[in-house]
Amino acid sequence: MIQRIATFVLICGTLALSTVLARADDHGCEQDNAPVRFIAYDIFIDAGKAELGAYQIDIHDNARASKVVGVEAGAHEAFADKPPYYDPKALNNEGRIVLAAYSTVEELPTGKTRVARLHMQVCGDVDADFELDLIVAADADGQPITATATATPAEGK
Amino acid sequence: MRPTSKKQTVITIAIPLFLMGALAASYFIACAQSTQYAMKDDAVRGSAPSEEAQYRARTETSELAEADAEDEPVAGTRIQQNMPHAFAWSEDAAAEYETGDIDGDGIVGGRFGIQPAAPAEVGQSVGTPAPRSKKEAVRTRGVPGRQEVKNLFMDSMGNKSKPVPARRGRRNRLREDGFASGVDHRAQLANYPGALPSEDEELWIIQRVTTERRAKPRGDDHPGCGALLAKVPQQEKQVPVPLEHTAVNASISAYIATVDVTQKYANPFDRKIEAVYVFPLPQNAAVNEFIMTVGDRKIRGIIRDRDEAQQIYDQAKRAGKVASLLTQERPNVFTQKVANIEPCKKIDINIKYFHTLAYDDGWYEWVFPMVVGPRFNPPGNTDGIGAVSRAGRDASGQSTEVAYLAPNERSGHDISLQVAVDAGVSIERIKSVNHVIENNAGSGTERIVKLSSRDSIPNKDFVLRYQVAGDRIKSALLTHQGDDGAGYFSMMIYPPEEIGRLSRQPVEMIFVLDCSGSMRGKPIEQAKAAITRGLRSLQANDTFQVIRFSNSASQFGDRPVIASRENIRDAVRYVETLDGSGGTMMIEGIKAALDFPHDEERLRFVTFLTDGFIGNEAQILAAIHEKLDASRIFSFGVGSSPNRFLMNRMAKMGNGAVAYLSLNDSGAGVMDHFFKRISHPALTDLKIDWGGMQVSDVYPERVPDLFVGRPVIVTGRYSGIASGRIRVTGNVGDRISEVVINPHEDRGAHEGLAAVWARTKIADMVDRSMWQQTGDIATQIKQLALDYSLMSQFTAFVAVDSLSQTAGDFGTSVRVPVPTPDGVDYDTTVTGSSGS
Repeated sequence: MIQRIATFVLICGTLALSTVLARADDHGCEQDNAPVRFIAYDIFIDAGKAELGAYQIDIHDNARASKVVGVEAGAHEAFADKPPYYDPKALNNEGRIVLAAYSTVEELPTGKTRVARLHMQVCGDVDADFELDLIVAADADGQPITATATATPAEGK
Repeated sequence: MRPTSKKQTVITIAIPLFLMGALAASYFIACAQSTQYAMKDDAVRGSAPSEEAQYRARTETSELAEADAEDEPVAGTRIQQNMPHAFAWSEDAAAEYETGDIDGDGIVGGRFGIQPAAPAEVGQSVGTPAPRSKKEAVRTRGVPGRQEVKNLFMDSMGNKSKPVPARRGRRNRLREDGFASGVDHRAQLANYPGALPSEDEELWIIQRVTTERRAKPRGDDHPGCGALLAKVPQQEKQVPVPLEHTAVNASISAYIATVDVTQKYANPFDRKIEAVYVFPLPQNAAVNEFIMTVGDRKIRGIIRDRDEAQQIYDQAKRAGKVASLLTQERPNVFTQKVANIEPCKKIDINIKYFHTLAYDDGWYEWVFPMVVGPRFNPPGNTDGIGAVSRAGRDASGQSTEVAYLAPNERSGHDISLQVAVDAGVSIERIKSVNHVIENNAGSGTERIVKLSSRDSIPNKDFVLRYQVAGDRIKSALLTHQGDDGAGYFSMMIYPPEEIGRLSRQPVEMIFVLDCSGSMRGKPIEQAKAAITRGLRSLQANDTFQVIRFSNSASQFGDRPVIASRENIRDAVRYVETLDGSGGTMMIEGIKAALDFPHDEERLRFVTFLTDGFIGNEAQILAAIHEKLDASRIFSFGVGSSPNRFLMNRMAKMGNGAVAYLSLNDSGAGVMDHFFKRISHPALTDLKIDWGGMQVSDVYPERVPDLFVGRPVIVTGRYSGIASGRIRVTGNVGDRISEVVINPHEDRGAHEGLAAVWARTKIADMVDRSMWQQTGDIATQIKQLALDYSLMSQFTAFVAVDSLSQTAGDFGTSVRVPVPTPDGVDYDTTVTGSSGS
């Protein structure tokens, strides 16, 4: 009897393990059935009282679980006309998303403003793990300004 | 030990066997669930079609012209719906204050990311049902020092998105709940698009039969969806299409054009659609920017590996997201797809590209192609571009299909176009070959030209020619310092003046005329007029041959004959009897023209007169490379929308030149021009002394021969400062001639040069891959295209609006039908037409 129960338990354990292994193959967007979700993040820069004329931001996904699928323009008219540029080489070779933009409009934003929105595809049942570096922020004259960059999940349109 | 009975032994063996069977079965069931979407080609392989295959079949067979059918629910597809995600942080309250994130809604010195939503407090892991092992978050680093910022800023301003080494400043980490404390997160999530109460719950999407359904145009009682139906004469049938308008805005500086193309899509139907549009661009276009506009939001597309981009697009489409995908079918043929356009909604696609202009005897030529001509594909070829009627989906059997409007049909799709020319030297004359232009504003060195609104049907190439001051231009060098610090240059080399004073040696002239159905009518009459003039331009010591081809090839004489008056008269009569019908087996024309011994006493010139409407370009180019020997090929693109990619490549591969004979050109005039060019020897075996420039990656690798009035363009990279004089030397018979170029005459920065260089390199690699095994060309091309954000056959642009969430399933796939090119007969060229 014990022998039978032990065999049964062993088989059941193996059964469960095999199911888990089969599901584990799902990770990554390379398989069409992988859990995939599309999300967006708003990227803000707070330049305080200074006028924001240009910026460069470096974003890296440590988990390598996401893919950028679009870069949207910002909210203020200075950064709304055209989406920021991204560096294709950095994206292709290092998986870094390097965004940069500048504006030549008269009225530049001060305080906190949304400068970009990132559209991402997250692949597999894992969490993205992003790092965000504000590489540079400058005013209309090209002079560096003290600023901070933040990101929040985008809501609505 | 108690002896084991027989019954016990059986049970001991049977139970494990049964359980092992169950184990195997469960594993296969689990695997089957995980692979059902991946089995894309199982229908081809003979197994039962997978979900993906069914999905594709439904999408691809849905067509406006097909019959109505009631929507019926079919088998449900289970989709694991992920939760909308709240925001999660690692945290450090002190750091938050220091780095300025006082309002608490962002991330400074921390991480951002997504987590399954659940009530959480600062400092806690959040998630449902349990915290994940790895939190999605972003760490933000502090700003760099002042001087470094200035340098970086200048990089940013001058070089768009130049990557710089990330300065690892003090890392401030924050953890923060993206939602306010004490708020009911689940209530908030209810407002989220696609929100579900729990991550583990499943959403059952009931798919509906789409095979026979169709989207219906909204009638007059549904105004407000845009005016896609054209106001046309009563005898023409109005055809609703999801492409409303194409706007082209080009600027030309020196010989480099920057072109913005905006395609305005709108859904005139009563249900959600996917728009599919196959369209042309110049064969040397370096497409490196793609922006999708949804409402007033502009989303930049991302360059990706083609398969990866396709997969992202498909997944976004299935998820109900507005998405777009741009792929390249040929260097001059592209497919644009826009998914999930809801009724009455509009989406714009903006494409930007650079390219170099052609120059010929004092005239620059800028071309914008408007329609892909109907291609002929030899039997057995499946990778071509098929020409089908509007209702003839998949009728051609080709991987890419263009749907054509019947002659009595018109769509509301029209085009506007504006070109701003800054020639740098005085513009003396300017003309449009095929279109009416207006607002020819400007004077001196600059002009602005607009396409007349009276000529806005996109059924022929827009060809703008402008003549600059003097009989000839000077050789010139353009430079640009690229994003990666490397220099890029483009150099136009003009032949030295003295070769125009020398006479040519006798020639063996082979005229090869395309007599296929697509040439019928005015195109073949134009071509015959050109050949007749060519025959009469031959000198007494020349020889000639006339070859015709359609389904097969035949020729005027057994071998090239002396250009005597009698022979020319007979040949002219022979040419007059030729007409257009049948297929375009160009390979037969190639064989007939190149498969016979070369006359050592004469230079052999082979002139192809064709619209190039074929789908097997690679096969033709490979055959030319194999059989060329000492021949030179001059290609004449005939008609309103010739295949310029094929024409240019044939001439390039054949060490000759290309010319175009539009329906409004004089056939005799174009041939006179050709004879003027070959009436002088070419400058051959060119060598370039770059002086003080340190150059690399110069393309084309072999500089082509220079003919009178026809410059060549080479492009490459350089380091340091362009200095010294560049000397180009070559042979004219037994003499050596030289061209000198001064780099200091460069007129400034040319931002498109990096893209132009990369595009030229890709073209060179593609050409070589046709006859040379040089490693993994595909990988090399893909890497280059990804690095330079360039379209290629191995890369594609994809853009997804993650915030959009359209209702229902993936919608109906609707192709944008196009008119046949002006002068091309629909009945003899389009599969599924009444005449085919």
